[in-house]
Amino acid sequence: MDALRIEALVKDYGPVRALRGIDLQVRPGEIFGFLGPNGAGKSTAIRIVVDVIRATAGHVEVFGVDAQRRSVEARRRMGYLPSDPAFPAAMTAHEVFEYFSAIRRETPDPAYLHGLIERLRLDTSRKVGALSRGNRQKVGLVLALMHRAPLIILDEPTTGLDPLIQEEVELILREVAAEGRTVFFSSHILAEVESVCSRASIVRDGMIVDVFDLAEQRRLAPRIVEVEFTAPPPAEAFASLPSGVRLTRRDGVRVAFETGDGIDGLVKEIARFEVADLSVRQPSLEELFIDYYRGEEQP
Amino acid sequence: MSRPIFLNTLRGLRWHVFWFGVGLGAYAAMIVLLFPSVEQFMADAQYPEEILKFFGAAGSLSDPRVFIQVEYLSFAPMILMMYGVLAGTGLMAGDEGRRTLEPLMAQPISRSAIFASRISGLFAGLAGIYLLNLAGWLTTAPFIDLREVGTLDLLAVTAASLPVTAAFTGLAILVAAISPARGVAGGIVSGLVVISYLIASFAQTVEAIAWMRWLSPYYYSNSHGLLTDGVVWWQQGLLVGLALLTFGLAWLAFRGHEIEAGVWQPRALVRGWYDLTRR
Repeated sequence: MDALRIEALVKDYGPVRALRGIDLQVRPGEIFGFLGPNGAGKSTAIRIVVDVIRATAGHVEVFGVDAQRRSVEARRRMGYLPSDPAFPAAMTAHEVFEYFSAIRRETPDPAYLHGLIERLRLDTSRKVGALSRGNRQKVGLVLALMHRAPLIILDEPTTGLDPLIQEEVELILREVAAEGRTVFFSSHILAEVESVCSRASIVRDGMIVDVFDLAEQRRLAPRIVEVEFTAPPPAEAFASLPSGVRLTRRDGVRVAFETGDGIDGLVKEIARFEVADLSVRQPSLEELFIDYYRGEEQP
Repeated sequence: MSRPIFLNTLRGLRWHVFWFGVGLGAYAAMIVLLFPSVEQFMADAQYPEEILKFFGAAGSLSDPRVFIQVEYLSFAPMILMMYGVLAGTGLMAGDEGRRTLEPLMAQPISRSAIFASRISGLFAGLAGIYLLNLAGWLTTAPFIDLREVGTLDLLAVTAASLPVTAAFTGLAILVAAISPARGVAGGIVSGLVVISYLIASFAQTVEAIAWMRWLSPYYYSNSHGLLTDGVVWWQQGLLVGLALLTFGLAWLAFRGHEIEAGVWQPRALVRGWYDLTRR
């Protein structure tokens, strides 16, 4: 059974189609990244899963429970952090935790709750209305995590947090997954997704353009070969490259190629000229991602 | 029904309740304490008839029933309705504007339970205002000779303002659930309250538009004749029916409401109905 299953999800706001048929399956125990730029439809899809907005068409299940028809039951299985969260300003963070626990009728494990508060360095005695954006984010994170729900849904979880706390959040998410619970989080920070997630999807213009396994992606990703020659190669050089090799940049003595399985042919082609420097690397997720957003096909 | 949401709603409304209640109570006390002086003065003087008609009254202001009707009951329901509009729009749209509604709705609790808890909090606040208002009567009326107006009459006429307040409060919640922002909802419903008041008042002064009084919910509260003519039960019943209708529609609209849509959502009513029948 999937932790989260989204099928043919469509959302219209009047004449504007915000989601254009999203399909997604998130397996139990994985950390799944939901990548996309602002306005791509990430928060809209998440809000439909949480049932604070309603789908125009499509179906959402959380651990087999219909998240629209049996939304209370589905939400019982979720911990949720909204994008830019806010809480009753007159309450302290401590009171916020008590308030939402009372609404859920669930008492969090005091040791676990205390641990989260300590690790995120949150002062729970201050009124929420006086907290900075980052500290409100911490309150939201604790709230999403403290009941140890089987599915944790986080909309841009590290926004406003300093780098040390961001690292701590990543560590906490790994621990959540190690306990067999599932994390589904949206982000536009690619490095974050790359370092934490086991799988990720890319959403653009209300559609999923790819779902990929990050380890597999790294294995299959093309190599980027960057060469610096001692003198600019002649204009006709590299006009015909071996199969599977693509010239991506040419700037005087510097030339860059992208190759999947044509590395041997490329090395021989490069060796026709005197080489000053050469590097071979895999593209970062950011480079792959930017290609998607430029509307190019994944190589 | 969720006790923490109920208590938090009440906590959020506490200063509204305090100031509206104390204000109305103090106003009630002042009216009672002023009456002996006004009684003497008005024995030889009188407001123009048209002015009295505007407030729906007839007779001399030296009559405590007419005095209280003109000076108190013409305004008190209006003030209570303003509480209803402020609290009603704040319950949903205000929290949405502060972005505190989304974390709440994301909890494993039904929208109906959230609605019921918040409405209960709102009505508990209204009861608090009523009690503070009564305190104004109870601390002064026994010590002033109001002739045929007994303390119980004052309690009853104050209570008679509650159905019209409830009707406009339900309307405020309904409009807040389908409008893009609290300010829009508050403006519309406050405007309707004022229009309703003016129609009820002018229709009693200008013969040509006398028929329009039937269009005004305010008219049915009969605030102008409560002490002289007594409570008109069918009119109060009509207002209770209107309140039930507006709260029913507000409940449906809240069930179908979409967070931070930023646009008018008339279809929230349809979604709410669909939700109710299909889920």
